[in-house]
Amino acid sequence: MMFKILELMGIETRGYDRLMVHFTGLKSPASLWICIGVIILFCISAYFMVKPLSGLRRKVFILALHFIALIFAISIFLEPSLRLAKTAKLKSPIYILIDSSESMKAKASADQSRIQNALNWLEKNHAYFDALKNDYEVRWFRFDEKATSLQANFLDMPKISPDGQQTQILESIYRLKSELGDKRLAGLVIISDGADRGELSQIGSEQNPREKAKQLKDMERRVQGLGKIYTVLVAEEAGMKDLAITSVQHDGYGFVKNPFVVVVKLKMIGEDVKEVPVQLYQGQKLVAGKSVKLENGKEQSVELEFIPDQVGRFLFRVEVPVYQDEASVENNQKVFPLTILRDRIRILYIAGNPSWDEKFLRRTLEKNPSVDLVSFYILREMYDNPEASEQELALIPFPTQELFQKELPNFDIVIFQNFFGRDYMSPSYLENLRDYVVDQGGAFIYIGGPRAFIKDSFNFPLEQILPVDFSFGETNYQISRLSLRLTDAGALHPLTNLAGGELENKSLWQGIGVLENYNQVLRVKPDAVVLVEHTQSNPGTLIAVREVGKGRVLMIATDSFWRFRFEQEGQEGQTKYYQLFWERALRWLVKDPEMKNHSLSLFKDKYQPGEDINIYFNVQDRSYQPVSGATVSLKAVQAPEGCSPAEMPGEEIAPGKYQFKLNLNCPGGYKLQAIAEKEGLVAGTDEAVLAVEKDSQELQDLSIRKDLMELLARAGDGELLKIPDSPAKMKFPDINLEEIIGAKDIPVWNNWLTLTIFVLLFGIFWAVRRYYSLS
Amino acid sequence: MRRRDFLKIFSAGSAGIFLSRKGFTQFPSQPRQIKYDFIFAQITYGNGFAWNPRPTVARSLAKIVNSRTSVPASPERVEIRLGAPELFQYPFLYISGENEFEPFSDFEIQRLRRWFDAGGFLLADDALGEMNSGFDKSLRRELARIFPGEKLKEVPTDHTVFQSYYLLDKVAGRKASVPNLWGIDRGDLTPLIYSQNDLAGAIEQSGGEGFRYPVIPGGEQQRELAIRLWVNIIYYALCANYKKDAIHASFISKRRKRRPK
Repeated sequence: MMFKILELMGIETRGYDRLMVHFTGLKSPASLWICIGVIILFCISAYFMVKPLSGLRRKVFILALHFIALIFAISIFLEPSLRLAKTAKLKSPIYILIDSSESMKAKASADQSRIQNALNWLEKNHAYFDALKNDYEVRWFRFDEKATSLQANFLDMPKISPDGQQTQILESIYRLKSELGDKRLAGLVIISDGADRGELSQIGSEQNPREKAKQLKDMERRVQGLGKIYTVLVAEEAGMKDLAITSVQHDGYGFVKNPFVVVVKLKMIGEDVKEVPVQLYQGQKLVAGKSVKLENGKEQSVELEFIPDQVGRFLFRVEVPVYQDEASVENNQKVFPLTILRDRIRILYIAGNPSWDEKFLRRTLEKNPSVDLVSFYILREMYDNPEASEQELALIPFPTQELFQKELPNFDIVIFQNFFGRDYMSPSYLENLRDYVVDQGGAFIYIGGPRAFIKDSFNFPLEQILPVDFSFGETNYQISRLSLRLTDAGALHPLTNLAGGELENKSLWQGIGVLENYNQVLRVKPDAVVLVEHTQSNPGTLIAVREVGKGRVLMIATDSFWRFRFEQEGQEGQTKYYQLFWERALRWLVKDPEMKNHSLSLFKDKYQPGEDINIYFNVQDRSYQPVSGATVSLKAVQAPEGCSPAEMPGEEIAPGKYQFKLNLNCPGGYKLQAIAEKEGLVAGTDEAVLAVEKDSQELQDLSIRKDLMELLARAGDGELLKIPDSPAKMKFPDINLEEIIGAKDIPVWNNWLTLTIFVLLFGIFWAVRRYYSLS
Repeated sequence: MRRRDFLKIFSAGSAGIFLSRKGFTQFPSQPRQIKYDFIFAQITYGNGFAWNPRPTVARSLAKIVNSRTSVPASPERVEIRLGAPELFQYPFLYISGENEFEPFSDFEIQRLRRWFDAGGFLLADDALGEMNSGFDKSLRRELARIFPGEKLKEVPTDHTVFQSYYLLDKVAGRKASVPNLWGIDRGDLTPLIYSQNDLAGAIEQSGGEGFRYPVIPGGEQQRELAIRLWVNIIYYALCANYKKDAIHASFISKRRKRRPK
């Protein structure tokens, strides 16, 4: 009828099918506030205007006029117009979301993964989805933590790689909904295994019925506007079997010769298993194993304990067997890197006789909390006569056989201080000591005095490992005040680099003026590094080190080093440098990783697949001087099968410091080796380990969650389907979506008629006010 | 010649050889410099010789230590004042007297305190061998200044000093007036030990070979005990708590039990 009226008014309406009232003035939000302001002002003025009037009828009449005038004024302000519109009907949208998280990699059946099952089902029902497109606008998405749009013709080439970190069904839906804004959907289809890690699983696991009901109601409210929700379960619960390592927990560091515990949590889905063997490997070596009984669906924990026997960085692997038809084999092992440190340094300390040098060294070692000290001092020599029976003496036999034949490998460092062992031990014991250093990587400290550096066949094995050859002179021990000089090597060596700066360090050592007595040596070996010299003889080797075979040796050719501690530092009220020297000496001798000449370092030991990895390689020579201009390369000596990265060169970024940049995509453990070469010789090599793994819990529990999928379908007034059910069960409503494809506005506020009514109204209003004598 | 006399001569001769070996290396035919690991440094104070009631203690002690132990001890005594710059060359100090002495200066107290902090060991020995002597009063006064707030404590019988070389149950010197030693502890060590029994008097030599003073009341047996206590104190000064190491502890405990009383 309105169309007829308009035509009578001479307005062309052909081609239009909708008439609406449109307010042009409402485009700006400020207009609305102005209107509200005007209404409030009007109400206030109306109140004061009618208040003095008597008679209700009169008041009502005046107020009515006021309001009519107000409505009219506001209407004009809002610029009303009649809008003639041409509309077109739109297809109601349906969104189909396919789970692309990692759990979809798991098997759905003997020969198919879950994702493959889903895609096959879509292909099999291609006709249905094609037909759906006739009446609905169908859009395809993949989702894990959020939904990502797929190409429009996805169904023609359905392919999805299930590599999403986590399944978060509700979170993905809510994000989509917020992107839709005011738009509505006719329906939503979720194709998933239900293995949710987000809000939906929390709702599903809520034990309190009241709280659960509240959460379900909230979910229903939040999915409104998404139409009917259908969920499609991609696999059957029954028959699904999987044994998974859900977590591996351990301390950040282990300590050699100290028990280390790894706590492994396991879960078996699908059946009870009697005994599951859990094994821990260090590299390829089995270090611990235990069996655990698992119940279906229950997480169980097992502790594996082993005692590391080597310092360093290693790749460890926890493994459980792969049973037939398991949904996933990826979760049957877990790799982790671990650094094994030295806990306590075990020292065997032999002194030729009690002395102040022995006392102050002993006190320094005792104060070091990382030292376990076993000492034997020769308190009495064979020609000493204590004038007492053995029973009256506190002296114990010197157990040389036990120490040097059996127990030697249990020590990290052996110290001989002013000791000549010919009267106490078999020559073979010194050979054992030599072999302990050379072959087993033990460390040895040799400190001078009248009983040391004696050229004797008995001492020959010692001479073989020490940095010097002994002097043939009859008296190698000399009494003389020493002037010291720090060598260039000593300036940077961690043992003697005590004061930080090069100049300060040289000044410190040169300032030590209290040492006296030294052992003369014949010559320094070519591969020895002399750190401190004195000027009293030639060579004036006082402190020297040597790396021999696998071990390290430190030599101090004086028994008066204690004077530095007591006489020099003691007078100044401190013991800083003496103590620091010995702390560094011990750490260097046991090859503390922080004191290596060449070291490969990373910021962390676990990375995400594809994450940038920066590796730094410090290369120094024996004297700890940086080696510049070396050719460095990095290669993987251990990597997941088929994922070994190619050997790559490094770049020198500072003298002696080289950088490698790489990305590793395959999850698993990697052992990388860097080599530095200069002038055809290997200048240094080191190894590092790291693990690449997704920060994801997807594979920890591969249960098919039919219950969660049912909950979601119910909230959306839909239904749960199970592959291979027919999708024809899914019925979607028509939500009558239209689109305006053409419009014509006919303003009603700016014509003579409107103006006439406006003037008339205000005229009546004015007249009435005059009649009633209103101000 | 009786066998006993022959053995004595033989032992003396051997001891002579062995003594002369102290401080030497493998070729005893050549004279060489002797390096002593123990030097007896005695604190001097005042203007007279009150500090020196036992002038031959160092020589006598050296003979004992050299013959009985592996430590080469110097027979020469170093006399040192607390304010001397050489104080820190001597980690072992001895102080003795019979009568009261003047307080040390603040500077001397400060030096001694730092000397203790650096790791020094002091043996105090009351030459009067009596309680509440003048020396005792003065010593306690000075120790209160060096170690404010601390008092001398009885050294317990399981202290390392009683098993550092000999296994001892008792203390004695020239006298046995006080049945215990006194000490002040620093952490796990006792850097000051005080005897009120005139330890030095028990080993002080007369002009000839013998000892100057009789030992009361226990006679030569008591003197031997005093000698052993000297050796133990020297060894404690040099070895600290070495004999408390676990490897020694059980052995010593068993030996103590098996020892005849």
